[in-house]
Amino acid sequence: MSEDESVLAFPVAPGGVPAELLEGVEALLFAAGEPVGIQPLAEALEADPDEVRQAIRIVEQRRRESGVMLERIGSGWQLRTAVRFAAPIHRLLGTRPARLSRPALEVLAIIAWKQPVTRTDIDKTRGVDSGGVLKTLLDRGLVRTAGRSVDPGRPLLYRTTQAFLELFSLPDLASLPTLEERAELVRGQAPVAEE
Amino acid sequence: MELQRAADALAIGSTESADGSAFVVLTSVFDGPLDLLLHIVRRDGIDLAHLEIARIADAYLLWLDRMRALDLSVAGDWLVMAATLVHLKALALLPRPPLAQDEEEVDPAEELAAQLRAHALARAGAEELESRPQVGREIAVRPRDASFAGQAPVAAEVDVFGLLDVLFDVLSREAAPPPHITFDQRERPDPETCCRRVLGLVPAVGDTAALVPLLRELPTKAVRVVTFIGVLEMARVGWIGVSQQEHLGPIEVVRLVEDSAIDMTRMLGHAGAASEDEHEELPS
Repeated sequence: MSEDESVLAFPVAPGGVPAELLEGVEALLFAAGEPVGIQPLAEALEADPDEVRQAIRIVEQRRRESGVMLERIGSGWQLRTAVRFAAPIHRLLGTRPARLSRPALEVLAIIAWKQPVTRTDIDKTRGVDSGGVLKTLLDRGLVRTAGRSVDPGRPLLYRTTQAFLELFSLPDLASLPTLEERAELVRGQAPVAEE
Repeated sequence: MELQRAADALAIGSTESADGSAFVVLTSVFDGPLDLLLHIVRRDGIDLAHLEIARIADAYLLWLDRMRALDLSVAGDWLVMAATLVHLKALALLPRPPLAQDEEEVDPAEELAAQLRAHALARAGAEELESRPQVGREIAVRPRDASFAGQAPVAAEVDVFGLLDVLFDVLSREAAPPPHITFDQRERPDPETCCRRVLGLVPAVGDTAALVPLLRELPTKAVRVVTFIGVLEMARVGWIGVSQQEHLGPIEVVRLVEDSAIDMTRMLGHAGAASEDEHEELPS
């Protein structure tokens, strides 16, 4: 019986994590808005980081079928609405979907897959001047300068930022897929119709 | 991707029926010459590993002619690529001089193929990014809760000795004689001119201007000070508003009244009275 009592006093969720911790993780992530790492969560909750990690795993699992999902973005975790509610959310808020221009996406792609790169690398790959686009991306905080190349003239190097991972829902840069297949560079293959 | 397909269709269509009667729709079909080359390579199923320069050069030049015939402006980039292709084509036709001993043969076609491959990858990358769920497009996230707005204490990494250093620094500063201050008003800025300059930046009611860049542009410290006081004074009498949207954000000046409602004497009474002091020196 004594075992039962302890269960009543400290409700334990499946996975061996106190329910209090699961709820705490949700509350903190809701309040923070932006992605938060395991360590700051553990410190704020005065809990063991391993337990917080376990709690996040359970919350992530539970939220998978809900309207607000828990996702890993960069080095942290963030609550985000499910993609299927995009249209009603825009209707409710009276907003339009924000879109990046084609050139902006291309410059971002070159930096994301090849970083660090110089401005010359970007221009050469695109075959057109990308100065203006690059400036916009820097202003939006999607890319940043990261030191200088050892090439003559020591040109600036560019990298993507945490904001880039956030915008494109990426846990890390390693999650970017290889592009050869999409680029239709397989020998003799006809262009695949895009959906 | 709809646009891209339409663009491809347009490009092919104009290549095949260039009698000039076609209805021309201008879209940003190709961002640059590499886009066009890539299109040609894909359309004709050309293998990048064995790039046929002559075939690509001909197709490219044909397209350039069509662009001119359709009165599309052709930017310099496009002509540079045309020249490069013609050059490569000529190289391919001519016998090559023997290479020097330590010289490595660089196939120009291979170089172009590498550039095209990199370009195709960049475009694929752009499509990949475009296809991902994006914040602001498919996904909403909360901003950091603004109602919990209390300032976080600033944590300084200072130990006891660091604090003592600061204390001694302050104490020794106290011991130093007060600085010799001189008020030099020989070139006294005119308050009215300063105020008019600010109002000139916000000519109509509701116009806004950023305060800090405005002040920074002014030539001397004295003019900046007088302009700043002028801004405060005009805000006090209600001609302009001063606002800041967010903590540490830019400070904006907004005009609230028409020119006709502005009576400089009303304000300059204060400014005039305040500037009666003559050129004076404070003894140390």
